[in-house]
Amino acid sequence: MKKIVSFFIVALVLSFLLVIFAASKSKPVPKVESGKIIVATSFYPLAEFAKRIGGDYVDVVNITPAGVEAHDYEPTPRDITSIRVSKIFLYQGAGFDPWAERVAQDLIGTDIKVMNITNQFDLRSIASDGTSAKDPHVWLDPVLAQKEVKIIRDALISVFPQHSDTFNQNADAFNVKLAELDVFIGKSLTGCALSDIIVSHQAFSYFSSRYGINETAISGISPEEEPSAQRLGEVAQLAKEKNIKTIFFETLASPKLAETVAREAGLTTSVLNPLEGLTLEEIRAGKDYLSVMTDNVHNLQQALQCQNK
Amino acid sequence: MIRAFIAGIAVALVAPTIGMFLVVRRYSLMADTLAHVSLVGVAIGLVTKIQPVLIAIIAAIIAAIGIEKLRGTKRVFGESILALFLSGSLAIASVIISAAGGFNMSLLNFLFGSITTVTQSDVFIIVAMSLVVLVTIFVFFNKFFLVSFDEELARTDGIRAKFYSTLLVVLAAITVALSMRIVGVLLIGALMVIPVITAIQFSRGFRATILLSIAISLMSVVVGLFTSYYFSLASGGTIVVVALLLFLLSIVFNKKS
Amino acid sequence: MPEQIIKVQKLNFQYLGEQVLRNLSFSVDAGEYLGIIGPNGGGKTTLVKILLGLQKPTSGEVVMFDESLETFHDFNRLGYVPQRISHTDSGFPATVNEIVFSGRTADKYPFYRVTAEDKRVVDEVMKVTEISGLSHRLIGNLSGGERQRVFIARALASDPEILILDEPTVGVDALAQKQFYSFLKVLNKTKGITILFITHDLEMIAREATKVLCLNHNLVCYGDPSKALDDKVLLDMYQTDMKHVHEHSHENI
Repeated sequence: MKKIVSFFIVALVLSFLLVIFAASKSKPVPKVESGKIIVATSFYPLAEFAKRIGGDYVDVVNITPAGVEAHDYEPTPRDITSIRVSKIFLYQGAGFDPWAERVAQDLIGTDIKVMNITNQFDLRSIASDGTSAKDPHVWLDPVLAQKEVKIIRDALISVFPQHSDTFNQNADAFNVKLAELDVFIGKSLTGCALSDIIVSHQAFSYFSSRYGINETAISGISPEEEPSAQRLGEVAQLAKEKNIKTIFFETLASPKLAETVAREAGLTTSVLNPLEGLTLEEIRAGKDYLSVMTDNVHNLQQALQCQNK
Repeated sequence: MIRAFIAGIAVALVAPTIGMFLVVRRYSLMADTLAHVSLVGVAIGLVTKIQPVLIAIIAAIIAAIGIEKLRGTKRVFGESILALFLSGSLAIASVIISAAGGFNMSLLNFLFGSITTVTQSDVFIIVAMSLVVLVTIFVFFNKFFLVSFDEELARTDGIRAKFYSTLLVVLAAITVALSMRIVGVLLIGALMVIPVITAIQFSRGFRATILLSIAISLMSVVVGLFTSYYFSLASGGTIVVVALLLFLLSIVFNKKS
Repeated sequence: MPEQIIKVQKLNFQYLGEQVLRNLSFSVDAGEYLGIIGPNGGGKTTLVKILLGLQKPTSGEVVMFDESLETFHDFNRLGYVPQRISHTDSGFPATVNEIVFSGRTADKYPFYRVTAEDKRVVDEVMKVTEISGLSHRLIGNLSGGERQRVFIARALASDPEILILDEPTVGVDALAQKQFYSFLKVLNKTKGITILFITHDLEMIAREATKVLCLNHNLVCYGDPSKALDDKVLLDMYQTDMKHVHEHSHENI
C-alpha cells in the first residue's frame, strides 16, 4: 500500500511540474486586439483569401499547420480555443476537412459565424461505381475562387459592417488579380500539343474543365486511396496512347505513387500543387496562391508542350 | 474542452475495466483487432448506404464472437487469432473499398475520431455506453472473474462459462466500435492495456488492480489533456504518452532489488 | 445401508469414433473414499468431466443425489480440484482470498453481496487448509503445495458433499503430499465428505482409500483395495508388471 501511495505522490508531483512547465512555455491564444476581429480558417486558401479581404481589420488564424494535409489534421485543444475566440470560422466542407465539420457542428448555438464554403457551390459529383463523392477542390479554378472571395467578403461584412467599404475594395482588388490569373492561364494553355494530364489524386477537375484539359487521376478523390494494379496498368496504357511524357505529383502527399507509375511507363515527374496547404519552404520563399498557381501553369506548359511560353 | 474532459473521463473509466479482463486472457491486441473489423463494417455501410456506425458495431460483435469460438476449438493460439482477424479484416475492407470504386472521404472519419472534436451528441453516446458496460461488469463481476481465471473451473461451479466469455468480448466490441469514432482507436486501444499492465506491476489482487488501473488511466487523461492544451499537441497521443510515462515510473517503483 | 450419492449405469462415451468409456456401472456411497486409478488415456479424466457435467455421455445414465445428471444443477454440492494446478497462469493478478471466495460466490445471482456467513465459511476453510496467512498473496507467487491447498480451499468453500480431485499431487513435493493425504483423511472422517481421488499412486490408494475403481476404458476392478488390486488386474490395466507400475507412480512424485 505504501508503494502505491508513494507512486501516486511522485506521479502527481511530476504531472504537476509537467503541466506548469507546459503552461509557462505555451503560446498565447490569439488575443483580440481592439478594432480587430479574429477569423479562423480550416486550411490555406481560405486563410489567404480572408487575409486579402480583411486587411488590417482582421487577424486570420489558419488551423491546419504548414506542411500538413488538411484532410489528415487532428486539431489540438489550443486550436479549438483559437476557433472559439474567433468571430468567423471558415471551412471547406464536403469531406475535405472532416475535423472542421465536427468542430462546426459543435459551434451551433454560439455567436461565431460558421461558413461551409462548398455549401454555396454546385459541386461536381465524382461518380465511381456504387458511391458518389462530391469534389471539394473549387479553389483551384480562379473563376470559382472569385466566388469564394465574395462569400468570404459577405461573411466579414455581416460580422463587421463598419468596415464594409474596406472589405469591398479589398475583395474587388483581389478578384481583379484572380480574373487576370484566369486570363493568363487561358492564354498560356492554348495552342498546346497535348491536352491530357496525369495527376496523383483527383484535385484538378474544376481547373481542367475550365481550361479544356483532360485530367486522369491515378487514385481517386482522396490522397489516401490505394489504386489497384489494374488501375496503374490503365494509367500507363493511357500515357502511351496519348503520348503523355509527364506525371504530376503534389508537394504535401508522398510522391511514391507518381514515381512508381513514371518509372514503369518511362515518364518524368513534375509538380502540380493543389494548394491544400503550403510547406514551410514555400512560405519562406514567399509563395502564395497567385504565385503557386503561376508555377503550376509553367509546369503544365512544359508537360503539354505549349507554344505561348 | 469540458466535453473533451467528460468524454475522456468516461473512456478512462471504461477502457481499463474491460481491458483488465482482456489483458489477463492474452487479448491485449483486441481493441486494434476490433477497430479493423469495424472498418469492414464501415465500408459495407458506406457501400450499401446503411448506417455505417451500426454495421461497424454489428461487424465487431460478430468478429468478437468468432474470435471466442475459434479460441474454444484450440486450433489456433489466442494471439494468432487476433492477428488473423486484424490483417484479415483490413484486407476485406480494402477489397470492398476498391470494388466499390474508391475511398469515400468519409470512411476515414469513422476511424480517426479525436477527443478535441467531441460533439454534444458524442458525449451523450460515450457516457451512456460507459454506463452500460460498467454496470454489466459490476453485475456479473464474480462470474467474469472466475471465467477469466479458469473457464473449466467456472463450468464445474455450474457457470455458463461460454456465455460470459462471449459477453465480455461483445462488451469490448461495443466499446471499441463506438468510441473509436469519437476519441480515436489509438486512445481506446492504449487505455485498455497500458494502465492495466501498469497496475499489475504493483502485484495486487484482481479488484485492487482494476481500481488502480482506473486511477492511472484517469490521471493519464487529465494530465494528458492539460499538457496537450498548453503545449498545443495532439490530445490523444499526449494522453497515451503520459500513460506510458506512468508505466515506466511503475517499473522503477517495482524494481526487484 | 449408507445412501448412494452417485449411481452410474451402463455409461458409454465415444470421442472421435473411439470408445473412451465402455459400459461402466458403479455407485458411490456417502462418506466413501474412492481411489480411481488407470493408465493415462484410460478415461479417468473423462469420467470426472462427465460427473462434473462438463461432458455429455454418449449413452447410459448418471444419477447424482437422486437426480439425473441431465437436470442436476446444484454443482455447489460438488467440489472439484483440477489437475492443472501446477500450470495455473502464474501472472494472473488475483489474491488467494479472491480465488477462494470465487468458489463460493461466483455462481450467485447478480448484485449478490458477500454475507457474514460467506466470510465465516471462507475463513474456516482457509484455516483448515492452513492458508490463512497467505490470504493477500498473489496466486502466482505461491509454491506448488501452497497453490494446491488454495484450490482445495476453493473447492471446500461451497460446503460440498463430494470432493473430486484429479491428480492433485502432480508437481508437489513428497512432504507436502504426505500432509495433504492426512488432511484429506480428516475431511473424510470428521466432516463426512465423500472423496473421489484420481491418481497413479497405488500405495496411496491401498493405504487411504476405502474403495478402488480401476479404469482402462472398461471397469477393470472395483471394490476393497486390499482385495481388488491383485497382480492380474494391474497386468490387465497397464499391460506390464507391478515393478514397472511402481516406477511409473514414482515419476509423479
